[in-house]
Amino acid sequence: MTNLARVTQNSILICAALLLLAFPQRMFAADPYTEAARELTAKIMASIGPLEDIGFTLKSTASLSEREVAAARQAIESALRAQGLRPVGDVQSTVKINVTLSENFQQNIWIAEIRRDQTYSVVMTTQPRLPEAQSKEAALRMTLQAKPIYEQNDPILDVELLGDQLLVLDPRRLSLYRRQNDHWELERSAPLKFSIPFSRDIRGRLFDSGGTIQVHIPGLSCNGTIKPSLDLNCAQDDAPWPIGLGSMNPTFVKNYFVLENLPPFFSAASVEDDGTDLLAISGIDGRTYLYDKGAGQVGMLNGFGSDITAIDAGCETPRQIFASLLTDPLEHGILQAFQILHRKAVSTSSTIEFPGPITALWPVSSQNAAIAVSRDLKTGRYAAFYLSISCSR
Amino acid sequence: MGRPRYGGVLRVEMHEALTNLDPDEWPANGMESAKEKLIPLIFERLVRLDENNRPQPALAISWQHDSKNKRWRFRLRLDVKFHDGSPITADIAATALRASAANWKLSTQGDTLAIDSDTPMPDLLFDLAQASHSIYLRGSDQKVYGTGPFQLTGWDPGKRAVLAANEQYWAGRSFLDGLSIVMGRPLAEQMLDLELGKADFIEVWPNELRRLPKETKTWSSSAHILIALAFERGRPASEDARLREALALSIDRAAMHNWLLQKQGETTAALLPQKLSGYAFLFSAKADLKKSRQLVSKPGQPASLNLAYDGFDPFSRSVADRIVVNAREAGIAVNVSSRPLNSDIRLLRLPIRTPIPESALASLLASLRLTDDAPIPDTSSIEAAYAAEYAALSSYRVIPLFHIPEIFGSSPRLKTWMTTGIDQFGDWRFDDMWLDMEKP
Repeated sequence: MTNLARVTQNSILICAALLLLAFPQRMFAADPYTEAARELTAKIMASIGPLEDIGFTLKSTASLSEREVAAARQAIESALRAQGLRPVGDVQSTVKINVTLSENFQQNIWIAEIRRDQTYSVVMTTQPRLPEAQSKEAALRMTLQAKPIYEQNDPILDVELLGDQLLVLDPRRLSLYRRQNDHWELERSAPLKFSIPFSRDIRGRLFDSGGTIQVHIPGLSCNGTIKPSLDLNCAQDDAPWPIGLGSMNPTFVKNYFVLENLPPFFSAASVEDDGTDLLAISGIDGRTYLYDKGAGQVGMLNGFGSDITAIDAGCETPRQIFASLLTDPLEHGILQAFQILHRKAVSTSSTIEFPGPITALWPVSSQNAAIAVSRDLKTGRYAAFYLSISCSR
Repeated sequence: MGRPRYGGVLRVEMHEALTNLDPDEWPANGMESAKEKLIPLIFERLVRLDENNRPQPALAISWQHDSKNKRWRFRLRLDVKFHDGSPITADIAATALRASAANWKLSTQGDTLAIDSDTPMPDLLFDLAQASHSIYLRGSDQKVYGTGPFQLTGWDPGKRAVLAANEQYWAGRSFLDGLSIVMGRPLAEQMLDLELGKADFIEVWPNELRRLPKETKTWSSSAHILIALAFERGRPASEDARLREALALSIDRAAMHNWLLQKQGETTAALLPQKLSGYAFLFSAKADLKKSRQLVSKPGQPASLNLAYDGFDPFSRSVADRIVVNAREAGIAVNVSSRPLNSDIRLLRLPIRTPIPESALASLLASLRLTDDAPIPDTSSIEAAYAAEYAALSSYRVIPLFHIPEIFGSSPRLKTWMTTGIDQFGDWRFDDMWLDMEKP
């Protein structure tokens, strides 16, 4: 322990660090790595003063990908060079700096151990992080928005926004509304007739594929159009449902889905983890699993409720999962956006609370937004929300 | 896995013998870890932490704070009742919190509870999630009532607690009908009881994992228990800084981790686990027998050290025995005893119960009484926490050894539904567990 020394906290050195921070920084882009690198370099400079060659090593104990570690290394080396230092690897040098990219539950911590002759000091910089494994991508916060679009007394199984028109699927009918100022006016309804009894947990799916609409409710499949008027042709069958998994359309049974080689699930989402396509499924055993293309289980996600879906958010991020969180059925529903990182779910947005439990969560046909339906605990009415996500730093 | 079934009483055994379950009374040294497990079954807090350490609504359904984190407003969940049938109010919650946090300025308006402070409280939600900030109602009979998933129906101090499911629990009645908790049960007897079908849920020490019956189901927390040696102040041997350093350098943590701990948890020379602080790797846990011998070989060294361990805990005894062997190789004679009287060193087991490193460190420093003659050091940032931890450890008055998880064993018929059953800090989520009985 004798080779350890106290962290430098001398106020003069802090002033020096602040002065360095005040230098023109035209080389630094405004992203988290260069900001952190600049701060760490300022602290290092406050400890060692002007030098040229320094022995420099960097390792990561944090949950960062190789690409992210390389980016961090580049940012720190650039920041050191900007201060006139030449990081030359772990070679014979008066000063050796070992940087560790570390983390705890809340923060990314970059630690520089500085050895000069017989002295040893430690400086650190911290950045806030999300509770789970964190990365540059995850530091890119998303803003999740839920815009109420429609509500009614009957359960809403799904809705589809088509410009100034709205299709609403409930257990008894498909209804087409047109926007009139600040409200929706009913244009036409098509009744749905099916012979099997209602489930206590009835679900349904509405899908628009370029002018043709598909409707799926248990035991009934319909195709139709809305132009020139709503027209629906239904057949009693168990055709697979399109739930946003590309060409994989599962079959609906009771209140869950079945798909070959996978355990039964309530909902599923196509996701990616560092370029690898994966499938997240919310199993009927209450757990959320990650499967690879070969239908092998590769991970498990904690804390999710039964409803998940995924959308393309854009802004150079992987697909975002919208997931209902584990809450009691008599509590307010809570939704949050996540992305998958190292087989774990990393939250990318704050939570959104709904007036009651979430009873449906589907991607919209274009895959860049989602629909959530919540049953208001106070009024008992069902409300549909349009979920979108925007990128922000 | 089938859907959960209701019914059954879970038989739990523990080695600690609690003398009270009053949420208003906590030992100053934070040593009653079992109480931290039982209290949340009966009493709830405004906020709870989820598996990712995110604050989630509990008795408070929502909250707001100002930009400086000095003014917090909590809206209470409506229609929650204490076990005596009384509805929860903001005034009752404020009364409970006044007892646990005298420095908070508490006020109420309708169903809103306000907590104000002259200084920023950015970690208030994490503080409120601690069992010590449980919300309770003290009745006119001086009994305390909670709102949690179970209510106390039988209490024999130090021996047995009987809990029944709270039928009116706002988050849904537990699957289990109740809990029967036997206290003060030695670990060896717990294992026997599990084997004989007399217990459903027992404590397991890492060194006992190999001995568990094959069909035993194990439940584990994160490695949040610090195992450390602490020197007693004022003892002649304890006041010898060279001897303290020599003992620290003699300990082969890696060998103990492999054999005694069955590779559970991690070796450490830091107070906080790496996952919590992010800087624990800066403290080297490697043994240096050569240097240790050099320190011991100086003249005037006391001949021996007396080490006290928890007599209820066979794992502590095993660790103490290994320390004796390691110290002997360095030339230090260590005598072990389960009686703390006249001991120079104690082998401690300290739980860490918050994900905030600064708070966890301040709590550990207080528990270890490292700050008796000095103000509590600044732990307001991670860099300050490192400096404080370094300062605390540089005297070798405390020698961290391991961070270990809490492990529990159960019969295979004990299952969980939507949670992991045991959270990262080892708290029991019995409200989410169910017994798979042959006949529903």
